[in-house]
Amino acid sequence: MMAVLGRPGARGLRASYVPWLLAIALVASAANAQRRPPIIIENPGARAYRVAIQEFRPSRPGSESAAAAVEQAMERGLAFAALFDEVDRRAFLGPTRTPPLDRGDPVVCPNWSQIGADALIQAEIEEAGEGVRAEFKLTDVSRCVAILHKRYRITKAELNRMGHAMADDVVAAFTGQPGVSDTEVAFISTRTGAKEVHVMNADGSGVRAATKNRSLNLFPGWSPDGDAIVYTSYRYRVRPQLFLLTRGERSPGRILRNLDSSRPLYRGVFSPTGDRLAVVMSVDGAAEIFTVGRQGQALKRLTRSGAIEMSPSWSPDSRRMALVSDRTGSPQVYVMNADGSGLRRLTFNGSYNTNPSWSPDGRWIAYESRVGGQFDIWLIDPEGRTNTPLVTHSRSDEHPSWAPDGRKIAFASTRRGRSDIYVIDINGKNLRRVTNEGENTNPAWGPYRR
Amino acid sequence: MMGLAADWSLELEAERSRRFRKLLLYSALAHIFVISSMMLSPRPIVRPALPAVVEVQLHAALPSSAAPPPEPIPEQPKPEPPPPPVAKPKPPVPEKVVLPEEPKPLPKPKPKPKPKAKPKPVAKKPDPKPPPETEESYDDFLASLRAERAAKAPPGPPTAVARGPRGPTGPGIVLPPEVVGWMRQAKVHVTRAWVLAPNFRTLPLETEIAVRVDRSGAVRATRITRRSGNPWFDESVERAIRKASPLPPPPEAEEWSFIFRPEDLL
Repeated sequence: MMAVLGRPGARGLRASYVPWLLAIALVASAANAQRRPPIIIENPGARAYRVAIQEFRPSRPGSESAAAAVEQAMERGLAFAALFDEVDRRAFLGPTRTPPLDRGDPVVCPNWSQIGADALIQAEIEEAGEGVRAEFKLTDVSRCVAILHKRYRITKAELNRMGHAMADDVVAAFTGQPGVSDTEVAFISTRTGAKEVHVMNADGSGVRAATKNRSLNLFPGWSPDGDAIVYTSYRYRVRPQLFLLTRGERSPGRILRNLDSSRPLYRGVFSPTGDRLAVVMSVDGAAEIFTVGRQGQALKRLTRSGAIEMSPSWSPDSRRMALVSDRTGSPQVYVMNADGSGLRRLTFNGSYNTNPSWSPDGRWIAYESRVGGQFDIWLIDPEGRTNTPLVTHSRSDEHPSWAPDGRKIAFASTRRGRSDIYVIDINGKNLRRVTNEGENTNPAWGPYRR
Repeated sequence: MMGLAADWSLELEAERSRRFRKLLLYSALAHIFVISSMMLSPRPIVRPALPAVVEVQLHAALPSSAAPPPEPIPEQPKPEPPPPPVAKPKPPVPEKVVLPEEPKPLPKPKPKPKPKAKPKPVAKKPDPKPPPETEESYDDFLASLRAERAAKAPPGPPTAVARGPRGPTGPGIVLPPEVVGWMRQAKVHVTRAWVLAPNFRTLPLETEIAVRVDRSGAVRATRITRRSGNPWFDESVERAIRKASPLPPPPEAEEWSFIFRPEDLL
């Protein structure tokens, strides 16, 4: 090679080309570095974010109890999200109590990242008259940036809600979608003697009866704005009818006033837009699915098989509906357009599939499937390509209902003998029982609260 | 006419001579480039196509015993491989999201065709070192590697292969073992630091991030080179890299690329 360079004909050119050659060689080297394969990270190894929570600071004397109550509620909300672990305060290198936030002291991020924290939570609570104000700050100490700085105001009676709202906002800061600790679940419970509609916070706290008619009440379902619950009641004994609970009102009222009341109405489900309901009504001895306006106007029949059609569940865009039909001899889940066209069978596994519930993101339909002698909760996509069990147990798991974030499902289970409401993440983790009294069935997870 | 012909002939000779010198020069430049690249780069010059590599593992690169006469690990330049595949596109529909049914086979290390030697002077250059014995076991192979490193031998032939078990095509890319080892350690570190909300695990998200690491392993800078479209997912990636710092001291203080994509579906 050197001999080639030493040839008289090339000598003159060598000097002028050497810099080019070196540059080309360097580029080639850099290209080599870039051609190194990337390192692929596929499965997150950590289960939860580690958050350091500085004690909430009462910003004036007399606010101590409120500060403690809000802090505890926030911690419960974070625990319910099952996405965070709290760092033990004894490990703190920085102060254990929130400094006055209006001073604007910068967070010393290394103090927190060194103890393994991903984030730092600080809050200042001020009780003023009947109200409570809070300033809340969340810092991502890995990147050393404040990712949430927010003020809250609420009445003293709702300190729990303030803490839950803070926790839900923390979840949103990390995932883009708020947590659901400040949402409610309606369900049927026998704890007051009869099967009455009850409402509780999503974590099982704050249970209160919503009906007291000592009759048989079933199938609670929320209006999309969260201000009303439609349910089925046998209070008139002759036939089941639909009634409406409105937040704040004590006595239940009828719904669908303009609808012929001579036909039994087994169930009503608000559409996601809230202006119509899908109802299951008896026609000539068979249960069929209709849609109807909130006042009973514009009744439209969707199914005409003569078989039993029930359990309608709207898709989140209101364009489709999942339902159960026994037209082939056994109850199976079907999907159709909201005008009744395009009906197709979705489930083929097992001889009994029922209670479909369409996920808020539209990607899944949860339903219960009888396996052996008991029911399990399964997930299937609306096209029927993927069908997978979510909850299995030797005792029955029934009536799945999606949380508004699409990450959790509530269901009823008899796994400890009597029926209780449970909550589980859609990855099958973080199973949690949220009721402990009476027989509890028919959970219906409410929307985000305004 | 003869004169003209002769003149023309002389011109032709001169032209031929100029062309010959030009060709000679091009040849010289090509050789200089090849040699300079070899001298400046610790890795071989010609590499197989970069596959859509997703994992790094030591690989003996030995043909199976049933294979025809074992070929040594090719040290000579191979024919130009096909262009590297573009990163595997994500199926846009939920069915990809959910438990992909089609298995993702490991690319089999097929016996490679005997590479053709280029008819160039560079091919005459003796191989820097003989390839490892092709019949030795994987453990023997690793042991010989360790012994070689213990003896502080000069960089030998590439002995590790970063292989893309999920890559659709192409053979692995040959990397020095210390690079492969560091990549594996870095993967463990970063994986351990990554937290992902369950809802992200069902989405077809993928983020690529360039991470500048100094000699001590400290992360000096990050730069997202391909976003997932979900800012919270991208932030989780950045957070994981920052939290994983310091990484093990890398063999080279430079920029490394990480791709994050959740595969834990449901």
